Amino acid sequence: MLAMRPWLWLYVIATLLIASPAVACPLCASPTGQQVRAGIATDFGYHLAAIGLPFVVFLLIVYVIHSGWPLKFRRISAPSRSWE
Amino acid sequence: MAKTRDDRSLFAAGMVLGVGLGGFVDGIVFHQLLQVHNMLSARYPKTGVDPAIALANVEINMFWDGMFHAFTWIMTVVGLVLLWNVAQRQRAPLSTRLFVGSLLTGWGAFNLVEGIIDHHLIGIHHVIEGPNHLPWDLAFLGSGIVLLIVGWLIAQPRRGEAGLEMPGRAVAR
Repeated sequence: MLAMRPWLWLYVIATLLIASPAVACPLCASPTGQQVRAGIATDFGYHLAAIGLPFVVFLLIVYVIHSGWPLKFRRISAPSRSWE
Repeated sequence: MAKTRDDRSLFAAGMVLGVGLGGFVDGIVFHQLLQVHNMLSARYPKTGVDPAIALANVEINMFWDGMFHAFTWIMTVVGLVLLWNVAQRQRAPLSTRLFVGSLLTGWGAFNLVEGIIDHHLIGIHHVIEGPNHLPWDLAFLGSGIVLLIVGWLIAQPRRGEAGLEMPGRAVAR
């Protein structure tokens, strides 16, 4: 941390200065900021799984469709190339 | 619609891409512009609580909305990769009808899956929070069903439809 490059220190200081009026952000050193961090950390894995679950289920559905079961579709004609 | 492997690949790519694009519409229009349908709004409500708590709850929901957008972005990238793989196959029939239909089908299917899991089974959020959230949640499911059916119908080839031929690639419209 102490060995950070000068531009990185400038970035951190600028971020803290900009963030200070917005005392509710997850990185803010304020009571509300702490509350936000605590709220995010509470049941983090469960919430992440709950939000990610629909995506996983959807990908499974797409995989099933891609594998050809149970749907049988009519085929769109794909013309051969003229030089073949 | 997609009897061949190439057709199914295009349909799958479109569906995944449809989730990405539909997810961004959901995130931009509902989560950000209208500020409803936030990811953990049932657990961290922004109304009916102390203003200081409401502020923290809005921020917590903003974080999880960002996580939803991250998943949506990943789906968009996966859809693009799948689409690129299909496009690289020179004999793959790139049907606009099939692709547009698959986009809408994917969007609708995801609304249906997300609605059933998050709104009704887990209950981490609703479209509009409050005692009368059920009609809104059902409308969301309805929108998913409509998108799915419309997409499915669009993806069907018309009778006697013939593909157009372009140099180097078989293209069916």
